[in-house]
Amino acid sequence: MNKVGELYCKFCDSTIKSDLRSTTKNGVIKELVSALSMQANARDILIKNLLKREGMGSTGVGKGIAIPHARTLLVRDFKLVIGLSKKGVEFDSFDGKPVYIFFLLIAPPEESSNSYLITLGKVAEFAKLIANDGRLFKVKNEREFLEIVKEIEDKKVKN
Amino acid sequence: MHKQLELLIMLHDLDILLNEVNQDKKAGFEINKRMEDLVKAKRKIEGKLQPNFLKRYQKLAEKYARAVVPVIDGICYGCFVTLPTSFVVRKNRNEGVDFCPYCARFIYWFDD
Repeated sequence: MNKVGELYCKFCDSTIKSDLRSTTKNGVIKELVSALSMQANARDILIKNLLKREGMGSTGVGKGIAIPHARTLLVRDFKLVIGLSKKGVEFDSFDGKPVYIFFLLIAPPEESSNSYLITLGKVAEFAKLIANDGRLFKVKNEREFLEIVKEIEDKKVKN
Repeated sequence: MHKQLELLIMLHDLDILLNEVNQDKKAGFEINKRMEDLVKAKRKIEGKLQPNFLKRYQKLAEKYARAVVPVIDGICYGCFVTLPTSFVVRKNRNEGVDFCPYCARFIYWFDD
């Protein structure tokens, strides 16, 4: 079971892009990676890496949610970028539906806290709750997004 | 960044990806392409690397879990030894291909 507000705290520390403009898989990955502060050529390598991962099978988990992720030498610590698209992005999700909420997870090859795998698992689990709840697909800004995340998490802990 | 260093990082990241595909499957992500496609991409990068760097990378990869490691605050994150001052004060970091003088791994510098 999640600790109270565990993901909420992680999401508060992450970058949230509430106005994704791209409508393609490549475009949206570039847009999400652009939120990370890193050198331009390092960013290009990371984008290629993420697209190679997508080439193996989409990280679109269905119901409008995708969790692109990768480990790379190019980051010092675990990074999480959340992206919200109003138009929806064709992401080759297994249910064929466009994606509106993105969770980009990037981590170095080794990290003592193991945040990457733990968060990946928790976000995948949380994605099911988001899909059932439905409100996060209509949020207008980052604050509203976080408030609803907190509500969903609190509700889950109470149950 | 030096082109050969970029290729070494890409090769390194691809090796991690190859190792983690199975973990992704277990986590419930859909993997519908064959591993051979990734291996092909790896061969392509290897083909662009200078033969001496490739040979060194392969030897290091056999010996250690990581053949390319970051340097953070002057410390090699492969062997965790502080690099000599002559390395640390160097300008144009990442503009060449460097090795840790202690463990011989390829090193990549993070901006301090």
